[in-house]
Amino acid sequence: MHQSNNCQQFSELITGYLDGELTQQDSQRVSLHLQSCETCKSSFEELQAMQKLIKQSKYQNMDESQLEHIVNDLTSKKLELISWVAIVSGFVFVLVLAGYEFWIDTSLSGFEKFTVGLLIAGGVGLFLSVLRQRLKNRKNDKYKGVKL
Amino acid sequence: MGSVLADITQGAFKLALQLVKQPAEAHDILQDAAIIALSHPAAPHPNSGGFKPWFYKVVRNKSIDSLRKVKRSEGEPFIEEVVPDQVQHCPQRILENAQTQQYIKAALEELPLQQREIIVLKDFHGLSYQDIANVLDIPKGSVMSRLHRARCALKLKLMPIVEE
Ligand SMILES: [Zn+2]
Repeated sequence: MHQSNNCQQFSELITGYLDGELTQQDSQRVSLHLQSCETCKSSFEELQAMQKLIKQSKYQNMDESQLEHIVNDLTSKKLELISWVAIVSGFVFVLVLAGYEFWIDTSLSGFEKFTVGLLIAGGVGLFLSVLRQRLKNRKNDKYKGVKL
Repeated sequence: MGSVLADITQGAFKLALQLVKQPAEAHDILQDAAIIALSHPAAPHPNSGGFKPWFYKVVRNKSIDSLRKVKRSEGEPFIEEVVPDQVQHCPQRILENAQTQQYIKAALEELPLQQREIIVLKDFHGLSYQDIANVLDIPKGSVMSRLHRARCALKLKLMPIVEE
């Protein structure tokens, strides 16, 4: 154990090494040290064995009925999002189609098309900027600061 | 029910159980956490990747609330055991016995909450250091050292059992 000072610096790193959370450089240093140091190697193997035992530990499951209840609630929230996506994309599709029909309509002059096109582009732009602002607020203000 | 959401919910229940130790409490915690997940404006969507660590965080905080409440009803204040920041002596050679499997759960339960939670988040639930930092609200840089101290403390708990 005369190496203990050197080993001390590897003590915590062995935990990071086990979890695959080290930088490539540190990981190589630890790997080299483990090849040459029996003490650290056995301490690594023990941590590894302990981790495996904990991973295999059995804990009772949640009541099936309550699990189902919660998952159903969460799933309906998921459906809500899917519905919104469907509505918005349907709307966008109709808009694009209408725009195309309008564009190829030969009974209108170029000036008329230009003016209406400008109005639509303005509306869409406004909508997007509001949406962007809302998403940004949601991220910045509420996500982290709220006490859960 | 093999869906991702069922797995996350089941995992979150086990986390609550690992922290508060009482199945009835753990069920209540999950109920509360689900309501928050459905109603909180900051809740990530259940099908987004960020949902699991977020939900775990809610469950962890609710578990601490619950522990606090139990203590209060027993008339004593809830004082979270503060674990010293110093690296303690890390025992060598303890796990030579196959019987350790049956002791490890008991040993985990004896650890202070602060050590128990970080070990189960990593070793049982398999969260990354980044996710652990989010769940526990600590800097990512301190996850490794805290986890290492906790693992050494667990080894220490296992030592006398094996020597018997
Ligand atoms: Zn060494």
